[in-house]
Amino acid sequence: MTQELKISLRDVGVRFDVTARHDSLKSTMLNALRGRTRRDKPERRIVHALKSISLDIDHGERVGLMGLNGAGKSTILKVMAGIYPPTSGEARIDGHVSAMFELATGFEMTQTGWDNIRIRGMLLGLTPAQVEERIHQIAEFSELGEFLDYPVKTYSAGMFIRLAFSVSTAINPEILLLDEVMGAGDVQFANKAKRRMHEFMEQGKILVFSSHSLDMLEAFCERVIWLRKGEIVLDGDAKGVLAEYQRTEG
Amino acid sequence: MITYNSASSKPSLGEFVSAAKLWRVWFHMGVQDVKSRFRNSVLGPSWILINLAAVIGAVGLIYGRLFHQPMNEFLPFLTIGIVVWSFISSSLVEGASAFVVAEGYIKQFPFPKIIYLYRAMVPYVIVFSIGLVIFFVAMALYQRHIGWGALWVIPGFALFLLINFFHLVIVAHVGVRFRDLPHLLGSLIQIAFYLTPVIFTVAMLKDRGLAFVYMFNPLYYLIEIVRYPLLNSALPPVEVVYVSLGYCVFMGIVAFLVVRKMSQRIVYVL
Repeated sequence: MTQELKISLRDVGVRFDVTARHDSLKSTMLNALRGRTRRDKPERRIVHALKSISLDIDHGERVGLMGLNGAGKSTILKVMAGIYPPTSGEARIDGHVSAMFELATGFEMTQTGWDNIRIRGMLLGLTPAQVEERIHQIAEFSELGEFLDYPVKTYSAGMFIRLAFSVSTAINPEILLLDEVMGAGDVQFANKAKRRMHEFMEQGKILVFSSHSLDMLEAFCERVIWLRKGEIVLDGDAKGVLAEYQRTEG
Repeated sequence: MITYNSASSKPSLGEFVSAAKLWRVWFHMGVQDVKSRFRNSVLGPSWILINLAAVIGAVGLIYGRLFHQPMNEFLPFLTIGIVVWSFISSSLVEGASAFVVAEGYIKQFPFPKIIYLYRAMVPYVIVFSIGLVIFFVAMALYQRHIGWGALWVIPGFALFLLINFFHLVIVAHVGVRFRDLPHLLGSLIQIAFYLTPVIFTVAMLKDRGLAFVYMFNPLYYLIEIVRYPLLNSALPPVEVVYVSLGYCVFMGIVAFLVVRKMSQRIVYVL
């Protein structure tokens, strides 16, 4: 790996137009026919999920994100993953990203666990041959056993997490983004997942994850970014930020 | 090693090319889509064959009589017409939800979104190929001759594929924003079916002074670039070729504009 891994966000803003969701073809056409489109429309409701965030994460850093629900943790991870194009500013990510989000979606419900491993593996950048090479390893790690032969619609929430986590971490990514997945699943799997995180961190790549557990953040990160309403409150050394967080938020 | 630079990632032709290179992914997904549709059914994908054969059999026997058509000409004509039509209608109607059904993937994986459009095309091509088999069986049954000129179907089909892909690109993007679109297109395409020479022939329209019905219908030309070479073993008439090419360019431009305007917003609207 000659290339330096790096995440750099410059003035990144993300806006969601909430009004757009309730627009129908009918109302748009009717409005167009009536003429005065803009004025008749209900006020545009825009949610600023992120407001001009600038930060750099360099090779080997382990960064934790914290903040209340809706603070922008998931949004910032999705920008880092290249899923949300910033609506303003610029995001540059150098390195192969593997991400896993709180709600593991993107399963083919009627297909088996095996089929879903294949599809997810490919979407994470593996070739079919590489998927076949690792599929048993992934299956073993997930501990889903014979459930892998069943359609995933029969799975419980915890089993989805197991499957998704096993695939996402099996690809040996350079940048791993995890959104509140560490606390998920049963105790046994959580411990296993922690071990895998440690292995991953020893390879000196970039890890960014969000969590509500201050213990987890302290154990895994050297740097913590505290978000509130789409803005960075504090960004720095884990101990300092966590202490400040506890002091103010009690 | 991938670099995402969102400021410079304006949708471009490059995105379509790089997505096409990932053919193993979208091809796999498309084939899985077909398989999972028939999971746990006894007859499996042969239902595609049965469905088509049943429709063609029923419609062919009744309408052939109604229209006083010689069966050896009418049945192959009807077969290829229906097969081509179902390709057009799927890419417009089902295609309008191509991004919507891939929502889970789009929100989880930083993969070029265009692969979900290629993936959507795979089942249509599979169904088309099965239909083509029925067509050749029908031709053989009625001992119709197929000459080398039928090979014109290859460039014809390439153009046909491209136009349908442009259709799909447009409706998939717009369909994310306007969820009424699949329903709207569903009814429009049903109306269009009765206005396009699929079960009736061009000659029938001409005889009754209704030639305008097909002459101003782009879908007719779209069907003809595939149907004509297969039935007549010859290059389609020049006006068919020119109209199809022109329509293709036009749809290409519309698709380009739609992609440029909407591509970046897709993930936010989903």
